[in-house]
Amino acid sequence: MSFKFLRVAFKDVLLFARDRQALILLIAMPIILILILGIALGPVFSGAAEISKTQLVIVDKDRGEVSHALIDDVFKSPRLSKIIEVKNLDESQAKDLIRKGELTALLVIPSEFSSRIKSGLSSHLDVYADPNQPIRAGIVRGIVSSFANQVGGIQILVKTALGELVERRIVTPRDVPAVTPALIAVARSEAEKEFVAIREETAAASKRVNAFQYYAAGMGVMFLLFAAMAGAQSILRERESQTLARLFTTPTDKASILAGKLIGTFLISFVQFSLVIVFTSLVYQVHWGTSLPGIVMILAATVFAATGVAVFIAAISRTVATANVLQQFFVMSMALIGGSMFPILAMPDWVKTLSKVTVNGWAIATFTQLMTDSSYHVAVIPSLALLGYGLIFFVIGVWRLRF
Amino acid sequence: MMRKIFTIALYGLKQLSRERGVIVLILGLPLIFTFLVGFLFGGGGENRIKVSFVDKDKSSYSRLLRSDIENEKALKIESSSQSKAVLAVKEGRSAAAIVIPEDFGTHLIKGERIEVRFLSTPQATTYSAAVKEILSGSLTRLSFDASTARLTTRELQTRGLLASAELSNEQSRIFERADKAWKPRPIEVNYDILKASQVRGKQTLASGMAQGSMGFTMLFVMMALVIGARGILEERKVGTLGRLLTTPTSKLAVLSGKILQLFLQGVVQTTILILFGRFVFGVEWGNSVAGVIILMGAFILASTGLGIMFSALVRTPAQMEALGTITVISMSMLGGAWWPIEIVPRYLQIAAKLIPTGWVMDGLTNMIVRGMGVQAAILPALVLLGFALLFFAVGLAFLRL
Repeated sequence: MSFKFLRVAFKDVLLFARDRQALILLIAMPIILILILGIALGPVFSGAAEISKTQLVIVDKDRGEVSHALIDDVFKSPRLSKIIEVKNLDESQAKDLIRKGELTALLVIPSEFSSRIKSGLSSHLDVYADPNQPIRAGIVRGIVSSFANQVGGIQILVKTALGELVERRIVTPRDVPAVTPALIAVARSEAEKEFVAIREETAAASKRVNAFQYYAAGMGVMFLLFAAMAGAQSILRERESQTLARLFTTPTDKASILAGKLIGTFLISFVQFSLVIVFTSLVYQVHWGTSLPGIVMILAATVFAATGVAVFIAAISRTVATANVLQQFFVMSMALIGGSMFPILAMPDWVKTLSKVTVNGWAIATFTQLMTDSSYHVAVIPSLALLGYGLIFFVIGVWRLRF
Repeated sequence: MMRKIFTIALYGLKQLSRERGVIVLILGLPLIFTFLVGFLFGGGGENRIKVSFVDKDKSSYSRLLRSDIENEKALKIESSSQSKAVLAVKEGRSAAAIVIPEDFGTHLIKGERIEVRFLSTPQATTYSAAVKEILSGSLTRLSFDASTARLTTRELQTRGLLASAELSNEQSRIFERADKAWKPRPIEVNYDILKASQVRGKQTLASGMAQGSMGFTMLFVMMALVIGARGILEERKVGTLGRLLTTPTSKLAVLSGKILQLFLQGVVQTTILILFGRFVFGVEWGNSVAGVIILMGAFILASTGLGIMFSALVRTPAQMEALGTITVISMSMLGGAWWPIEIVPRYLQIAAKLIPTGWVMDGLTNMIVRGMGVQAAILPALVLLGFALLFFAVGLAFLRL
């Protein structure tokens, strides 16, 4: 049993270690990008970049009891002040700002609002909104509607009840004005009972990864794919520069050489990612998880899958140039769909399903789970999936690889 | 002399157009990225608030509550089991969970105390407060309907006009009658959407498609120019530059020719990507044609300068590729090409003004998304010309042909 394939492997690893350009691209670059993405998108991940406060202008043409209740007790309550900022402007200024997208909404309370309500007459509240801010405008509308329900409910109760009583001839139409005040009083006391309550409960949010963690995994895996591609490329390059043919005329058989090259690729990728893990945990304080077996398992499976895909691409390319283009395209698409560049959680459901077709989709999902201190169990199925994935590509690739 | 410069430039471009792989990369990739990002992040701005709804009652009353809440377009209601709902809230997939208890309907009609559970996390305050208001409004409506039914039937019963057997039917009927009376409401809430003006303020963010088209056009044009400048290094390596220089053509002419080649390459690539952006993706590049031309022209110059500067500072084409790739991608990210700059921390937004890409994105966003005219391009273009001057100066000082 000759161990020549090991020598081939180590030769490739050494070449890689001496190739400064490769080192920059495959190790320095992900580290720089993780830094940029981590600080730029940090707030987005931690939820600190919550939507900015809803900007609202209230124009009170009534200045009565009910309008004050709406403004002071509702909109300026401590609870709502956290999410709504009430500004002081006149109607036309407000409408102008809304059109420009600088203000979310305007609430106009008409004159005689309070007096009409107290007399049991109907009235209205007018909300003007920015079409580009449906959620924030919706919040304002919800609050105003809720208030309108509270105030208007009494009128509906009285009117419906009267309708029924009149129809059954318990009350004649002439008696209505006399009966109404009593009904209103009953309705008010009913409303005050508030028998339907909302019980608010807070739940602790489950552990989430921060931006640095997510992109350490995302970018780490994306560049691991590039590393694997670079390794497989060496097979092609040697084929092109004929050194491969020369190697084959040596006593070392094809299988050993191929095995050596593949192991070399595997080792290079493994080392690349390990360096990313070490650097990010030391310098960026990225927590990769408490389960080392889990991390090693998924890493090995990912490297295997990446190598398989890389061999496949090398096999279907005729020249190094073609391989280059195919690799860029393949890795970039996988990176985009699998969630290396944009967080997978932010994407529509069909993309999340599609990400299962990508190497980095499985890898990132597993790494982020491990990062929240899950045990190695979460890595088992994804690792098996990636092994299978890599095997399929690998077999097709080797079969097609022509020397 | 001018003719020699042009010849050199056009010759270089012809060589380039023959490399099919290059065309795929500098045109295909940006278009695919723009399309995917536009598709994934759709209409830009806001998505609907997701709410988990757990109905343990399944009566007509709980269903009525649900449909009333669903009317609010800002929400997206999803039915689920309690355990799934709790998990969704904890993991941040739902802003809140509403749990309707068993016997909600029967207690409602009888006027007996009901508790509707509302679950949220501290992280989702903004959205959960909104959901709670909407829930509260709907519950108010239903409790008034129930009170109406109860009071009326009680009155009828005391007068002996209602048999006990008919009680619940009558209550349902009156409940429904009361519920229908909410249209039109006593206090009608009029909701008017004011038509957006053409010129929007700084609060308006780009939609996914616009962001992608602007950002990736900028990124890939810059990449092609910076990497493309390695052509100078390659020719130096292979020696053709030396051969060109042994002809009566002066060094200056050769260099100018190469620079012109890069500039023309940039113009062609930019034009194609903008046209695609406008006519295939529907992005409003045409809002200020003059502005876009001025801004992108200055940008192409600055990028070419950057490429020349790099080619003067490194020794091999491979080094150039590595340095160029890292620089361009980092600058594009920091400048706001991959995501709207408005979502990053304040200090990063300021830092974006220190690099050319930050100015390009700012100018483009103002013209394309916010509808500002050509004046939005003037300051950024001047800054970019400044960058171009700096890059060319350093590059030409250090370039050894």
